[in-house]
Amino acid sequence: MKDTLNTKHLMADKIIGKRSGFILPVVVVFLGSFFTMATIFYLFNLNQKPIVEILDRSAFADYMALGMAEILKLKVKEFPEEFRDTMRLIEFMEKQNQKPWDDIYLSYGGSANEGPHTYFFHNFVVKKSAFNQAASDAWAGDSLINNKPAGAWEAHWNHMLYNLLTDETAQHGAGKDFKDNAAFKTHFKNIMAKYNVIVNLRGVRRDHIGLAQSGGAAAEYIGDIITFSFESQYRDQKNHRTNRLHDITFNHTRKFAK
Amino acid sequence: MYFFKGRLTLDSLLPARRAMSLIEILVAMTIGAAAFFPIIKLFQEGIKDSLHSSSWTQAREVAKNNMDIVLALSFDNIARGDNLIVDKNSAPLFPRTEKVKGIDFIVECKVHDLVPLCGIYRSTRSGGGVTNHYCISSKLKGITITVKWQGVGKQLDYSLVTFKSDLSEGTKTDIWQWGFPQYR
Repeated sequence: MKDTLNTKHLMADKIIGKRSGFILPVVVVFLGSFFTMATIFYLFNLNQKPIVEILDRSAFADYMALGMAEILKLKVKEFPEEFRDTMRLIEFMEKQNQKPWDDIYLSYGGSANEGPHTYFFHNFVVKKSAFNQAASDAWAGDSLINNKPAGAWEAHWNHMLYNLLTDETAQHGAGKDFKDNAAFKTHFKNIMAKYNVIVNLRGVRRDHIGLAQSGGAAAEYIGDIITFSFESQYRDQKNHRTNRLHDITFNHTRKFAK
Repeated sequence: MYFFKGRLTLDSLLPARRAMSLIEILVAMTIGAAAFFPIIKLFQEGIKDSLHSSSWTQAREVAKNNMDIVLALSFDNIARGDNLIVDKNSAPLFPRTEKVKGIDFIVECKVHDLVPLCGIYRSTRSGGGVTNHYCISSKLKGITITVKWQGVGKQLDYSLVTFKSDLSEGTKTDIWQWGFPQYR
């Protein structure tokens, strides 16, 4: 019994005690494991940037929506009469419990959904147009175009750039100055192919009436705050589509030309 | 006084400890020191370009900051071309280098002068609707901010693209008809 106690005492002293030399291997193994894990972690992360990439695309989508709103603002400012006529139709249809935006989402020149209330805005809807049916359908259905995965590029290119940023190769374009449009095509294609973000107009509404305006201006939408709602769509780290809404306001102050 | 009593041991340096030669200690320390810095550097770089990626996050913020600087300029001061925007002293704003946490972020700016095409419906025409296409010159610019920095073994980059319109009051002289009206 006494021998046993002595042995236990000696063992404990040997394991715990400073004389044992046990701590050093523990430290070595711990550090070895630590740096091995760090190296494995590093090697795994060489090929993926999971959270970062989705944030990259999110910020890219913000500025794309902002940019598309700028083009729409320009169109509203330069063509206030057409904007007014279109908005009157849209608001009238909404009061009648019709759904004008459903038509706008699906309309393009020659389509059954085409109508006076669709012309002004449908160039800002990427999902459907005369020029992007294949790309937009493929994007929605995750199928292939020309044996390649559907990209936001095709949809944007065949729609937004064709309509809004056409170049000298477009129909009727001869002799006109399209400035940097052609150069921007290539540039924009490379960037869109990289980030694969799609941006659609999803709604326009008159948000506020009551700013100082001259007589009859309320019916003309002058002095109103116009809100454009854009929807961006991109892939998250699991390759699932993610949607975000971007509301951008516009103080519509343009005087009529006439 | 232990140094003068024959073999130098760990016991001699740290009394009541098992023997370990000074040579062994020096070799272990040398290997440890030599291995530690490259490995910790790998670890840091791995973190940098991955989940908690400070450099990607920072690059995105640098791009956003610089984009907002450009967007805050008046339309006429957003000069078309590569890195041609200047400040009030006529000094070029780009390319610029922003050093954050020891990383150099090189910011470049590219501006395109764009001509949007707008299909317009005019309901006032007799005989039904008519779609006219008009081009608007000199009132839209495409702005690209690109941030480049040195990642692990390769240069990384992040870009933002947006458009800026000239929304000031003006004449319609910059608007010209494209193609022919399409009557419906």
